[in-house]
Order: sequence, then structure tokens, then C-alpha cells
Amino acid sequence: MSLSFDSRIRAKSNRAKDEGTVERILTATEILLQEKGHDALTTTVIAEAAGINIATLYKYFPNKYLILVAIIKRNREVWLKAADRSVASVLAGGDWRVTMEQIIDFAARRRQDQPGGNALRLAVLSLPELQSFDREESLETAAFLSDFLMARGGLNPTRAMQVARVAVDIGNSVLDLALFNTSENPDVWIAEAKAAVCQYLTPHLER
Amino acid sequence: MALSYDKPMRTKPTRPKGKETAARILEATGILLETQGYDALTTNRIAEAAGINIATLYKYYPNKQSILIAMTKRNRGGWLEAANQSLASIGAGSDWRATLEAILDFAAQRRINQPGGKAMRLAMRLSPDLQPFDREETAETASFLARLLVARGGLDATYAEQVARVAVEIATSILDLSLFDQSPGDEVFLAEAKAAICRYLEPHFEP
Repeated sequence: MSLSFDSRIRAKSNRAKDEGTVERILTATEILLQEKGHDALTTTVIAEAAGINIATLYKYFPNKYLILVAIIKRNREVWLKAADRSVASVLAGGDWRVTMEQIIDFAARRRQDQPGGNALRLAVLSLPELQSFDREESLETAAFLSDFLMARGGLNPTRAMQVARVAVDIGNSVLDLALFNTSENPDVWIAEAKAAVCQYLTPHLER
Repeated sequence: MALSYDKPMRTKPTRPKGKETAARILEATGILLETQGYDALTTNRIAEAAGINIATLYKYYPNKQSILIAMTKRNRGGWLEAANQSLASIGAGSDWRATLEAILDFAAQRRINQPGGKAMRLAMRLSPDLQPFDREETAETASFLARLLVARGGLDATYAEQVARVAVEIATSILDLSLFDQSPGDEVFLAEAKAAICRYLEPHFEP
């Protein structure tokens, strides 16, 4: 059909503009999350904050959940690259504890420093539409740690993945305590997450 | 919607018949959770399974969330009592590791043996309506452990509370991993929950 051909051409010639619009939508959403939390988030409010028409927004995202998913996926790439680099540095001979602590610091900073980071984490934990993405990311992170446990600790693949999943779960759930105990200094939970993960992994990495 | 989950029971059953009806509703809900899961749960199905009229059900509970909260509260009493007794025995000088492991066994049994135990746990974990009740239970369990950390480990009260929250959070979320994945199974996650919590608390119990 000539119509679809035309629209393909148009999409292609406007790719840079499309990326710019998507980026504006994601950034506006992050700022709104930061200021108002996920409950107040609607596509109308996002379009307004991004300075675009609601019809334009719907061209890219059918609903607000898919905007959040796009943010989660964008952040995940950065996160997994950092995790990969850290694991590589330990395999090159670095101290595993220092590296593990750096990864936990990085995970904590993602939530604290990124606009809307904490609100996004809360949304991921409480919105049924997003919960599966959280588990997916935990599994991907665990896969890196699992490789490391095999290489450095000599664990067999099955056991390495079990231990890795538990360690990632410990790190995440302790860091998440900061979301629900906002009256306390978030550094407390970061320090305890480091202690809990490192102590759990010690017998596997120092034998 | 201003549903008040804090007042789950519309009519407090005082007469034996009323208590029996309320108990039948909870029992039917447990069986439905076990066989069909939380998503398939509706007040209509619960009424049908309990062999009562839907209007009778609504006399006691406004919605399915309030029924789950009633189940949680009923179970919580026994759990907190058991946890408290065990922890008191550590205070009296028994082996802290063995006692914590016994508490974890008890927590795991609750999920496995109770009809609908796992489905209910999954609902508590994932449903935004029920998550606050889950956190409430975690905080109550942690307060027992915190007192013990003060008495036996010599921690100051604030830090003891934080360490206890972390320990309970770690144990709960590791046990919960088996809700999302069939493999490697409850036994493995139970063993890892024990290992993680004991390694985390060791420096506080054995300074």
C-alpha cells in the first residue's frame, strides 16, 4: 500500500526528531515522578510538561506504563554496563569486596541522584504492570554475578546462579528499605546492604 | 475510592453463628487462593465456596482485600507469638543461630502448609492494597529482634532497630524468591535465607 510506504519514509526522515520527542517525554516523566510521585502521573500531565500535544505523545506511547517501561529499559542498559565493567575489574585481579561495595553504591545513587529515581523504584515495586520488569532486571544482574562466582569462587553454574539471585535480592531489598523509612538517613541502608551482601558471599569467595 | 482497609470488618461477629460465618469465609478464601490464585479471587466466588449469600458476605467484609487482611491478621497473631517466644529463648541464653533457623523454618512452613499460604504471600507482596500490611508485619517482627540485639548484642536502640529491619527484610525476601520461581525450590531458598541472616547477624551476636 502506498500509504504505509509513505509513512515509512516519513518515519525514517524524522528519526532524529522522533528521538528528541521520546527523550523529552522521558525526561518530563522523570521530573514529574520526582516532584509528584507515580500516583499523580497521567499522559495528559506528561504531554503538558514535555510541551507537546497529547496526540503526539500517543503516537509514541499508548499509556503511561509504557513510558515508565521505556525509562526502566534505558536505565537498565546503563546499569548492566556498569555491573559488567565492575565484574571485569574483579576478574582482572581487583578486590571483590571493594567492587561489590561500588556496585551497591552505584545502585543506591541510581535511586537517589537520578530525577524521579526513588519514585520510579516505588512504582516498579507497587504497580502490577511494572513488577515483572523488576524481576527481569534482577535476573540479568544475577547473571553477571553468577559468571563471577563461577570464575572466582569455582561454583558450578546452577549453584552460582542460586547464590547470585539471593545476593541481588539481599542488595535490592535492603536498599528498598530507604523508600519506606524516609525519616532515616539513606546511608544507613547502603552500609547495611553492603555488609549483608558481602557477608553472605564471603564463604563462596574466600575459601 | 476511599476504601478503608483499616476497618476490614463491617460487622464484628459476636454471636457464635456470626463468628462461624466469618471463619467459613476465611477458610473458603484460603482454599480458593490455593487452587486458583489471587487474581481469580472475587467476593462472588468466595461467597459461593463458603456456601453463603453474597449479601451475607458483604455484611462482614466490603471487598476481597479486607478478607485477605483479616486472614493476615489472624495468622499474624500466632506468628508473632511464636517468633517472640523463640527470640526470648535466645535472650535466656540459647544458641542464637539454631533459634533463628527454627524461626525461619516456621516462617517457611506457614507458606507451604497453610491452604493458600503461598498465593496469599504473593498477594501481600504484589498488591498495592496489601503491601502496607506486609510492611507492618515486618516491622513488628523486627521490633522483637531489635530488643534482643540490644539485650544480647549491646547495640544502641536505634541501630538495633535498623539491623533488625534489615535482617527480617533479607529473610522475607529470600523466602519470597520461591514464589516467583519454581526452581530451585523452597528448600534451597530456605537454606539460603538461614545462611544470609546468620552471616549478617554474626558480628552483632558474636562481637
